[in-house]
Formats: sequence, structure tokens, C-alpha cells
Amino acid sequence: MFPKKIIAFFFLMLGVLAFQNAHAQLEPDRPERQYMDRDNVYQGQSDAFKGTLSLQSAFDINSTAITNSFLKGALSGGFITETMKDNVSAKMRTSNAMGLDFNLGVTGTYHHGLTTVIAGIGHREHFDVKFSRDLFETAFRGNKNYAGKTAYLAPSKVNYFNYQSLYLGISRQLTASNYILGGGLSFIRGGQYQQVNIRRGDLYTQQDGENVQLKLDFDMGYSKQGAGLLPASNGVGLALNLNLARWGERSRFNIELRDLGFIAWKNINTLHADSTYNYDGVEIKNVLNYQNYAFNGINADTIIRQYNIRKQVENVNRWIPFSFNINYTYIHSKKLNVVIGGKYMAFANYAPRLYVRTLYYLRERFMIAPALTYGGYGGFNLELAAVKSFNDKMMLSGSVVCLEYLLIPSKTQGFGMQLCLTRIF
Amino acid sequence: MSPMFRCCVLLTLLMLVFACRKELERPQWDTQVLMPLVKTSLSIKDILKDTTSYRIASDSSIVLVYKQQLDSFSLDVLDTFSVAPFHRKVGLSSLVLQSDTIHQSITLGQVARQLTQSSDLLSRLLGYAILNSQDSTLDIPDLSHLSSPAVPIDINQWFQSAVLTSGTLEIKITNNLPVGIKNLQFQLNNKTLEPKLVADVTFADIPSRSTQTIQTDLSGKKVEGNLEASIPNIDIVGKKKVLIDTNAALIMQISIRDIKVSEAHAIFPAQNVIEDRKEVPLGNTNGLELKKTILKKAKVKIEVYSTLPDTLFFSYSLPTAISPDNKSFLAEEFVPPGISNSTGPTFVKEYDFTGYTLDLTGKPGHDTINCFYSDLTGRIKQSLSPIFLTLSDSLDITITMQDILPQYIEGYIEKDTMFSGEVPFNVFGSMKGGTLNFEKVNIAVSLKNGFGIDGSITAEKIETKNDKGQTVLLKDEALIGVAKPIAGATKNPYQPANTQLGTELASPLLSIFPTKVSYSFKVHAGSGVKQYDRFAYDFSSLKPSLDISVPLSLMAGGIVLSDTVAVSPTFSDAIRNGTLTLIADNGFPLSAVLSMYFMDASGTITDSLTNPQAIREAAIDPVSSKVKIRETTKISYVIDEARLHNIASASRLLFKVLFDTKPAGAMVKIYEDYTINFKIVGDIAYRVH
Repeated sequence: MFPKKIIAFFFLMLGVLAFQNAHAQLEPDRPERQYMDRDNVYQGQSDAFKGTLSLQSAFDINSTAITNSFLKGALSGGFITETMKDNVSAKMRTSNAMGLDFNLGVTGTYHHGLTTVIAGIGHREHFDVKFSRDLFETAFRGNKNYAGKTAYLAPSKVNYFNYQSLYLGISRQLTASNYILGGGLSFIRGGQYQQVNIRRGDLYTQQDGENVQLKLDFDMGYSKQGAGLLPASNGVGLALNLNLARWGERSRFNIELRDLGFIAWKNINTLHADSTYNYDGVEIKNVLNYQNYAFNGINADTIIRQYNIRKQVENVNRWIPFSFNINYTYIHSKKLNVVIGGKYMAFANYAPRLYVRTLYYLRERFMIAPALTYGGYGGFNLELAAVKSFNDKMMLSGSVVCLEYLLIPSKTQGFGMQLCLTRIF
Repeated sequence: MSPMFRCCVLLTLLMLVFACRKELERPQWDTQVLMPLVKTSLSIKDILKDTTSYRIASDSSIVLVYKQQLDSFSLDVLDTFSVAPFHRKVGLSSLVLQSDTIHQSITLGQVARQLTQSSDLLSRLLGYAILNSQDSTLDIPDLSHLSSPAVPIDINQWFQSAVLTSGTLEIKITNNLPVGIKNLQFQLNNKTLEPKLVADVTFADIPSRSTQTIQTDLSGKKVEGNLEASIPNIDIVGKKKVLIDTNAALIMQISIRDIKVSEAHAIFPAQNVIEDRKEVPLGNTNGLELKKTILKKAKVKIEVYSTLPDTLFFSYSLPTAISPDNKSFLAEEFVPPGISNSTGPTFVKEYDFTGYTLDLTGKPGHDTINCFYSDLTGRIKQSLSPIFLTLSDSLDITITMQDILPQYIEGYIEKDTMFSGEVPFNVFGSMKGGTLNFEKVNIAVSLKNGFGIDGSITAEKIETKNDKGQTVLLKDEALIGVAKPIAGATKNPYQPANTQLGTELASPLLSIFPTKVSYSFKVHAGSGVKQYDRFAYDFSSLKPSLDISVPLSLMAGGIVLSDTVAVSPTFSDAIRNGTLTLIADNGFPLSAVLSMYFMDASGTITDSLTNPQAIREAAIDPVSSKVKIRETTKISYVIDEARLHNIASASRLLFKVLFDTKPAGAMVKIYEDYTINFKIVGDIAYRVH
């Protein structure tokens, strides 16, 4: 379902592209943005264009412990070997994280004097999970290793959602200064929503396996599944973007707050339990008449009833994981710039992410930008970006985080890709 | 192609490649799961399943109860009840003809004129003298051997011809002549029919102004409608100075009375020609002496063959057959004149006899048995024209009671009936081998007698059998061959009577693991005293049941409890292999070795789960003689991938439990609170999809 929706949404936006001059967020950590900053094109310093139209997408997945080879097995339907699991276990800490983001959008800008109007539409998929070592070990190796012991499955969290947004914004260069202040508002259509929060999950397996006990305190919520071209709408929301840029002779500075907002999710199925559950086997009332025993009568609903898990349908308001970006660019020469920056995403089990990026212009209109990052959902990663402009009318940029994946997937984490095509008018 | 377009195409392709990656497929990995799978608890009640197959004794021990309804049987007292067709060929009992009186007179003038024709001179002179002496006196001398010519008498209005079986001819002569008469001979003759003489009588002396009567029997006479009356001789007694009145007459009054004929061609008056009242006996009563029956269902069919040339009106009544609406049975019908050469009945009709109560004591007031009283009357109306009837005309009537289904009978009933049979004994259906001894066995035969007849029952034989052909015959002098009285059901209110005969014994009857019980009983219905208040309904039956109760105090060694059940295991293919551990928490004083054999559809064993390790028995507390402390045993079964496949492919499961009571050689009593708890823990390699 996931890729089909992406494809469908992609073509939809291609259609929209022909009629709209829209724009989504401007992200200062993206290489094409940094490329354009060099010429101050974006800031409206140039009289050569009136606006831009960009189609961009980004995909990123990373983890503090889940290796690329493990992920490959998990995502491609392969077999997860014991070695893969061992490699992950070796990286495990008490608390671990993994996240996935996918963004696809169309953004348009229109410059008039010192003012730039920005509009766009976008689609966002976000998944993050925070999990304990024991949760991983129990899930991927079973509970036998915990015979006579307790596996601590908490704290663990899972967030997954997707939404579509319509963005409208404006930025303006402050008069007679080198500051640009911008802001915008996103109108959000909530799609799918899933959330699990295990506050306590103590799984005790008796030595001989005769009894299994689970002390569980958890919340879970999920939206109804929909079918169709677009994900079913399960809520609406608003988000705010703010950005500030300053530039000087040999430096540039950007700060941005993105997607600060919420989604009011409707009709969310929520489950809550805070109790201790003992399981000592499915009881067969009369083993001599066992053929009449309906094992297949056990399903989610019967478990919910049996274990007194509260289930209800309710409307919930949730923050959208918003991000805070900040970077500083040192302009060493016309051919070489260095960027340092950081990013933090709240409500998403995300660790602060730091990066150092070198912008090197191989030619006048061709830039490469290797970067070293640390944090986020992963550890250290290498990123390689490139931007090519065609006669100042068309610009193509992209970046990948794949060296680790290609070289030592069993020992590394993280994979990502960005693409952007911009038409300059 | 412009650069812009090329860039757009390139970007689109890249995006498609990026987006069109494979559908997320489910990864797989192996886990090792250790968890309880199933658990169950078995008490002796669960094992026995059927709650009617046991009861709890006062000390909470279990008593096996086997109650097998034997075939109910009837005493055949209603099944064979029937009424033989009632066939009567009834001739005309009598034919009555009308009769009247004929007057005939002979005046003195006629006598005088006859004298004038005489050959004797004196007579002729006297004749003339009389004719000429009207109203004057005349001396009339004695006259002898006078006669009168025949006078025709027409009685065709009565009959044209008849053969009289009885009848009286009365001749009354009134002598109004002025002289006396002697030796008057009177003859009555058929005009043409032979023999002509019907009657010949003589009046010896009839004084003047007197009347004399003579009656003569006409039985056996043939008489026709055209008769002639004559006086062949008459003597006149002379007298002086007789006042002559030529109109004075000798008056004859001829009467034919009380005519009954054997045949006649006549106009018959209305009369009953058949009157038949009889007690009709039942047929096939098989020695029963019945006083009464109520018919649940029956029909009465009346078939009549009539030879009468006239319409016969008949009524057939059963005065003691009372309908549900309290009316006696009466059929009033008519039979058209018989058709010669006809082969079929002249009259056929069926009457519904459902619900009738039939008094079988015969004629009202006659206290007999097996008879009902019937009344058949045939009647003809006065014929409009002469018809020929003879007493040989008959009514051939057949009355048949069909489809008789008595609902109730009452009377004296005495009957011997043997019944025997064989019934399954499924208490040990799945046990084989070994030795089994029970401390004692109670055997009883219960009877529910729905007949209002007391009597006795004798158990001739009770025997157990097993599939190997082994038999054990019950030998108990208190039960076998001893007639036990059976009470009869009461009538108001109706209540079947229960009787039980039984015995308790330490018998090896069950030691052969019997699968059948055969029996033979003799039932004597009736007490030998003729009491006529015994009764039976159509639903009455004698329902015997065999009751065997066995206190579960037993000594078993090497008993194999075995059964085969159809299975269709549906293991997830995620399960790779593992070890199943059976944890048995035993509260029975029995040790057991469990084996399971998996078979394919053809019955071939494809795999098995066996372990010689026994589930250990719980020890019996010597003080209370009961189990106080349970015993836990863990038995493991290794299941590799091949075995898992075999189990998953199995169609049938044969399980065997070999058990022994412990301590060996001692009787062990099983109590209701004994249980054994099973739990299966799986240590399973599970491949997650």
C-alpha cells in the first residue's frame, strides 16, 4: 500500500504542477538551498528571475542500532539471519531508536521586490520507534533466552502517521538590512495514524515455560484503514513555519522552525491496559472432546476481552513532530564553502543531528557537497550531494546517504536520498 | 527536445524508480519460543462424559451406572384381538296374509226350489208347497239327503294362491230357518288347484234359530283365490205348522284366520319378515376372557344378499356398542329387491366404529364373556300388487368388523410370554487388555408394567459377552430362575407399576471387558385367579431395563485405554521444530503411560509420540485411604521438522493409555474429586513471517 500511494500521489502532484505555482517549506539544510544561497538567488538579489517551481522528494531511514543489512532483510522480505541479529545486538543500548521519513512536494516562489511569496503542497510519511534491547531480543530471538528472567520491553514507543499539506507563506528582506524573515501556515489533512506507547512491559518467563507473566502498561491508538488513491482522511490540522536568515560577506546564517502544529485526529481506536497478565496455556475444557474446541476463536477481540484491555474510539489531538534547523555557512572562497548545522525533531524519538558539509564548486554551475552527520535516528553518516544548474533556468540536485550501505551494511546504519528539480523563471 | 523537457523526463524517471520499489514484503526470522500451549484438567466425570453413566456415592466415591433399556414387549393381548365375520343367512321367519270373513246364505225359498227339482215326488211336492205357503203354516216332514250346489267364493283380494303353514277355517252357520237341520256337510274346494278339497266339515244338529261354529285346521293346505263352497248333504228336521217365510235363510259365515304361508302369491301386508337377535362371539381371543373393549379404530361393514322380490327394510343394532357420544350403534337401511343372477351383494355399506365401547358380556343382563349382542330385523311394507314370496326367500347378511384396533380391553387375562435379547454394554468400549476386577457388582432388572395385570417375572439367563467370544454367565440363586411378582398398573388414575429385582455380588461378570449383555426372561401375566377387572391399553407395555451399577473400587493391571479419533491438525508452517513437555499433575492413584500414534487416511501409522516414562501415581494416604498429595511428572516429546510434517498430515490419532492402579494387588477406590491436570509447554523454533 505504501509505495502505491506514493506513486499515485506523485502523479497527482505532477498534474497539479501544471496549474499551480505552489510551494512548501524551504529547508535550509538541503544542498540546493545552500547552492542557491551562494548566488543569493533565493534572497531576491538577482534581477534575473521572478520565481521558481520545484519538485522535491526525500527519503531517509536510520537507526541507532538496526543495521542496514538487517533493515534490508526486514524491508525487502529477506531472511534475517542470526548474524544480522548479532550485529544489531552488538549495537544495542538500553534505549534505541529508528526512524523513517519520506517527503514529497511541489513548491513555488514568486519574487516581487523584497518580498517572496511561497506556496506548495506536500505529502509526508513519518515513522519512528523507540525500543528497549529486551524488546528487540524478545521479538527477534524469542523469549526462551529469558527463561527464569524478566525481559523489559519498555520504555518503547512507536509513531507512524502520514498527512498532506497545503502551504502558504511569505518572506521578506528587511529593509536596508541583510535579514530575511519568513513564515507560513500549513493546512493539514491527516491520513493514517498509529501510535504505541509502552510505559511498562515486564515479561517474565518461568524457567520451565509453564507460565508467562506480562506486566503491561501501554496505550495504543490507530486510525481506521482507508482505500483509494489518497489515504483516508482521519483528521485535520494546522502547522506553522518560521525562518530567519542573515548573510554577510563571508557567512550565511539560517534558522528555521518547521511544522510546529498539530493534527486533530478523529475516530481513533485507542487501547489502554495497565495490569499484570498471566498466561499458562489455552484451556481446553474437555480434552476428550477437543475436536469441538475452537482455537480459531482466539483473535484480537477475544484477547482484548479476556485481558480486560480498555478499548474505545475517541478523537485525539497530537503534536506533529516539528523540527528546528540551524546552520552557519563559512564562505572560504568562491569555490569552497563550509556549512555546520544542526537539526532537532521533537515528539519523534529523535536525537539532535549535527552535520558538517563542504560546498565545493567544481564548475561555475556544478557543486558537490560531501557531509558528515551525527545524530538523528542514527550515528555517524556520510552524505554526498550534488547540484547542477542549467543556464540558470533549470536546476537539478540530489543527495544520498548510501556509502555505509554499500560498503559495510552489516555494521552500519542509515540510508537516505533526496532529489529536487527546480525551474527558474 | 528542450533541456527543460529532458530534465523533466529525467527527474520523473528518477522519481518513479525511487517510488516504484518493491512492495514491502514480510521478512522472516527464527525465534525460540518457550511458553505453555494448552492446559486441561480431567476428573473422573470428564472421563465418563455422560452424567447418566455414573453417580456419586455417599462417601463421594464414583459408582458406574449402566442402565440399558431392553426392548419393550407387549403381551399380545390387543394385537390379536379380532372379531370373526358375522355371517347370517336369514330366511323369512313368517309370511302373514290378510284375511276376512265371507258371508253366504241359503234361503228357505232356495231350498224349496231345489226340492222342486228333486226326482223324488214327495220332495218336489213339498218344494212347491213351501213356495206356495208364504206367510202361512205348513207341516214340514223330515227331509233327508238334501244338497246345495257349489257356490263360488272369491278370495283373490287376499291371495291368488298360497301354501298355508298354518291357518284356521271357521264356518259359522246361523239357522234362521223355521225348522232344525241335521247332518249339514260343508265342503270348501279349490276351483282348479289340486287337490281341490280344502275343507270338509259336518254340522250334526242345528236347531232352528240357533248358530253353530266349526273350525278346521288349514295347515299344509294349498288354497287358491277361486274357491267353491258346497253343501253335499243336509237333513231337515220336520215340524208341524211351520210358518213359512221363504226369505228365512241359513246363513254361513266363512272365515279364514291366522293365515301363515310358506309361499304365496299375494299382496302381503306390512310385516317383519326377519327377526334375529343373537350373541355374537369374538374370534381369536387367544384365551382371553373379555368383558369390555374400547375400539380406537374399527369399521363395520354390512353386506347383504337378498332374494326377496320386494324391498326389504332392515335394522342392525348393537345395543351394547356405545359410541363416544353415548348412543348405541344402529344401522337402518333398506335392501332393494334382489336381482336374479347377480353375483354382488345387494347392499354394501361401511360404518365407522371408532371410539365405540363394546360390552362383551352378551345380551343385556347376561353376564357372559367375549360376546356382543346384535339385533337384526327385516321388514317389508304392504305390497301394492301381488308378489310371490316363499319362506325360502332369504337375507344373506355378512357383518364384518374391519381394521379393529382396540384401545382398551378389560377382563380376565392370563398369558405367558418369553422375551430375550442382546444389548450393547459400552462401559469398557475403549479399554483393552490387562486385568480388571471390581470389588462388587450390582445387577438389577427394573420393570415398568403398563398393563393392569399383575403377574410374575423370572430371569432365565443373564450373560455378558466380549468381542473375543468369551462369556460369563450370571449364576445367582437369588435372581436366576426365581419368579418375582410383578404388580399391575392401577386404572384410576392410571399409573404403571414399577418392580425391581436385583442382586449384589462379587462376580467376574465384568472382568472380560464385556461388550454385550444377553438376557432371557419369562413373564407370566395373570395371577391365576379369574378376576375380570384386569385391563390393558393399547399403549400398555412392559418396559424392562437392565441396571448394572459398579462402585469404582477396582484393581487394574495393564489396562489399555485406547481410542482413535479423526484429527486435522492445522499447525502454522512457522513452527519449525521443538520439544513438547507434558506436565502431568496427577491426583489419581493410577500410573499411566501415554502413547500417541498418528495415522494417514488409510490407517497406516506415519509417526508417533511415545515415551516410556510413566505418569506417576499419587500416593494413597493410609489414614484416609484417599489421595492427599498430588504427583507431578514431566515427560518430553521431541518433534523435529519431519515429525511435525507427519503430524500435520495425519488424518487419525490413535492414543493409548496404559494404566495400573497402585498399590498393585489392592482395591483402589476412585473419588469424584480426583483430578489430573495436564499442561503442554512448547519449546518451539518459530519462524516469524
